[in-house]
Amino acid sequence: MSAVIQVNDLHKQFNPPDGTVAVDGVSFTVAGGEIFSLLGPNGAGKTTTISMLSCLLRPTGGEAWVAGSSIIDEPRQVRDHLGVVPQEVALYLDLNGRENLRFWGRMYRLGSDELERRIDEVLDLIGLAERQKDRVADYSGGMKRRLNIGVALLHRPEVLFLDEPTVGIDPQSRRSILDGIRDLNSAGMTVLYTTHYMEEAQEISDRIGIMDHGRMVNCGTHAELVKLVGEETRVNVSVEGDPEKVAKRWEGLAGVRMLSREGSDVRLLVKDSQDAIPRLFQQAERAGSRLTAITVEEPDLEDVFLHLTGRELRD
Amino acid sequence: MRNALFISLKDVRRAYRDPAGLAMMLLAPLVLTLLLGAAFGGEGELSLTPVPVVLVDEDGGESARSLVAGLEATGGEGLLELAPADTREQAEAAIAGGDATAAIIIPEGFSEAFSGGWSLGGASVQVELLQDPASSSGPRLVAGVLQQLISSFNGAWAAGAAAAVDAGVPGTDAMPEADGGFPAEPAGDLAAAQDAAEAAVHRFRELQAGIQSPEIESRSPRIGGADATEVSVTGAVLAGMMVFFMLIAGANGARSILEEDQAGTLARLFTTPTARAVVLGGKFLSAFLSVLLQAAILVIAGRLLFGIDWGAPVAVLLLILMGALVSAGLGVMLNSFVRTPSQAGAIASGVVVLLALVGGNFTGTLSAGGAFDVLRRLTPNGWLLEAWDLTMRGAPLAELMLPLLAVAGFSLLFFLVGTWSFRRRYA
Ligand SMILES: Nc1ncnc2c1ncn2[C@@H]1O[C@H](COP(=O)(O)OP(=O)(O)OP(=O)(O)O)[C@@H](O)[C@H]1O
Ligand SMILES: [Mg+2]
Repeated sequence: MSAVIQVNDLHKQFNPPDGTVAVDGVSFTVAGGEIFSLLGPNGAGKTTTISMLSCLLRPTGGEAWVAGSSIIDEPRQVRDHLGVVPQEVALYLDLNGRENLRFWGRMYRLGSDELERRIDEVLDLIGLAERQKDRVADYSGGMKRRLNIGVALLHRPEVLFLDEPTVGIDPQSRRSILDGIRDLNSAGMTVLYTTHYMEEAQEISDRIGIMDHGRMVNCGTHAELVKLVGEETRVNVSVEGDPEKVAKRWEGLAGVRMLSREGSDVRLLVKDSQDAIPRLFQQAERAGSRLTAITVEEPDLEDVFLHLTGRELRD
Repeated sequence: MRNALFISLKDVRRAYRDPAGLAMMLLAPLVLTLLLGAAFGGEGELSLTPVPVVLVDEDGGESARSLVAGLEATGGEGLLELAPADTREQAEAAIAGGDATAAIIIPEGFSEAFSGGWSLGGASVQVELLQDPASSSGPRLVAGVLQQLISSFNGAWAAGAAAAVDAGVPGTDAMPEADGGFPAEPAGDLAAAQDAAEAAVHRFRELQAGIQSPEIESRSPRIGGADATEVSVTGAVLAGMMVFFMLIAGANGARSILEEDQAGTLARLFTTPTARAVVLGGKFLSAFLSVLLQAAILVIAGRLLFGIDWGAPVAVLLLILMGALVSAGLGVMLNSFVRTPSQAGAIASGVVVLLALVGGNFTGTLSAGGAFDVLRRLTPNGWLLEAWDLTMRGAPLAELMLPLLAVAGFSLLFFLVGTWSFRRRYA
């Protein structure tokens, strides 16, 4: 399928010439029917990129096309094909769920009959049919998030943008949201998703673009990205005794890279686990400590991010 | 375009679901009117600052002196503040200089007209009222007082004339001729006495009509003394409160643009296929409709709760419409200059209170005259109050045109500035 989202060297500087450069030359394409995730830490420029693609912010450079229309020259056509789920819940809290959907449906120019039908369908989809007459202010965080998504689905958009739709909600709500997005995608909707949870990106996406400091650091399928880490393997170790001292010693070893340490749990990237693991035991013993558990794993996106940026995804 | 309406209906629904907002829009003006109305003395006269009036007695005769005495007596009640002057020119200068709001000129021949009855050959006697063109309610009050005095004068005179005819006093028989050429009946005849009384009534009407708006300033509206009806205290107070709280509601209504901006719903609206201009237009319309509904409810409540006679329905409708328009316009403009809703709240209430102080919302619809009358015309609410005052007094629609035009001008200005400023921000 051809590209439904095409982004060419997009730039955004706030308050030029001295303001923050939030997006600094981002390019990617999303094919029709694909789920593409922008993965990056806070301030990476994900929201800014989505805002430009939804014609809310004007790029200071570059160009992009959504559903065949230019975001710069044909914003009206772009918006016709687009559903946007903003990062912050954007609803009228003093209206009830159904009233919110009805209002937003009008804004998507749905006629009365079709609108009422779609509202019922969307309410079923987001599991809020029973709470539709309650004020949104009285909804739980997860319910608000689901309604926030539901609003963007009313007009059956061809392309759906979701900006961190699962932030701050319980695992169950997150589960139902992710499943819902998968279902919509199976029905043919192209999805651009942003998150800073690597598990989420890994689970939901066909392809992932890793963003940092306004740049697209790398982009590809999960498998492609993980390959970038190369031969390295991740080793998780639990240390009994003085983990700090042990970690210091490990850092000096060849073919071993420190990922993180939380209390007694240490994560490492090693070139050759067969060779490295005995040395890890050795150094720990010399530091007067013991290793109580050790696991060896394939690297994940967390490791990829570290590999690419030298920093951790989670700060 | 229809989406603009949907946006505004959504906003009106939200506004009228908010108990605090409702209290501010509807309850506050009614409760304040109740309290202030009671403070002013319930059903009684509105306490007023006396209107400064220059009095020129060119006649100097007996009747003129009694008219002056009558005016002075009224002045004692605190309605008028009389200052004598020698010439018409002095009176005009006093008005031009802002020392007086009106001048009463008793022309030469006034007394003679009374004592000589119709023998003057029907020469009409005109008590002239000169008025400050920048003021209408002050002179209106003077006209009312003058009217009342002349009526009682005529009543007394008619009675006197009838008695004179009855007693066969010579000099009264010329009367019927002057009145249209009926053959004179013998003195003492009952028919003649009736004629005399009729003629007296006729004369009374002539004198009434004789109170004229002066030629000092061609723009000054004619004062029809006969239609000056009393404005009830509660009507005056509620008009002031209503216009004030309409301005507040207009600012609050327009503030929802900034609130939606902050809540992210405005940005979300901008991601829908509804054009930005339509979204903003819808928000402007929201402010207008909220205020319109508020004013309609207040006017009806004023009628039902306080029995206020607002005046001709068409005029009332026009005033409500224009009031809502200018309130929404002011709100849009004020909110277009600030960033956050809380800034907007602070600035808007400051501006509206200032406007209300200058425009006279807290001092009733009747003015203190002079410089204040000029100043209040610099405010849209001042014009609105002037128009409300006029309608409540039963003034014809034509007289409302100037204030309504002024309010329309303000509305246009506010909306233009507000639109320009909002477009710059969001386009
Ligand atoms: N309106 C704005 N004015 C100025 N700077 C801004 C504005 N919006 C965002 N920025 C800056 O641009 C950078 C990127 O922000 P953006 O919101 O796009 O990041 P993000 O990847 O969405 O982060 P998060 O995961 O926290 O949502 C940040 O440094 C931010 O401070
Ligand atoms: Mg973001």
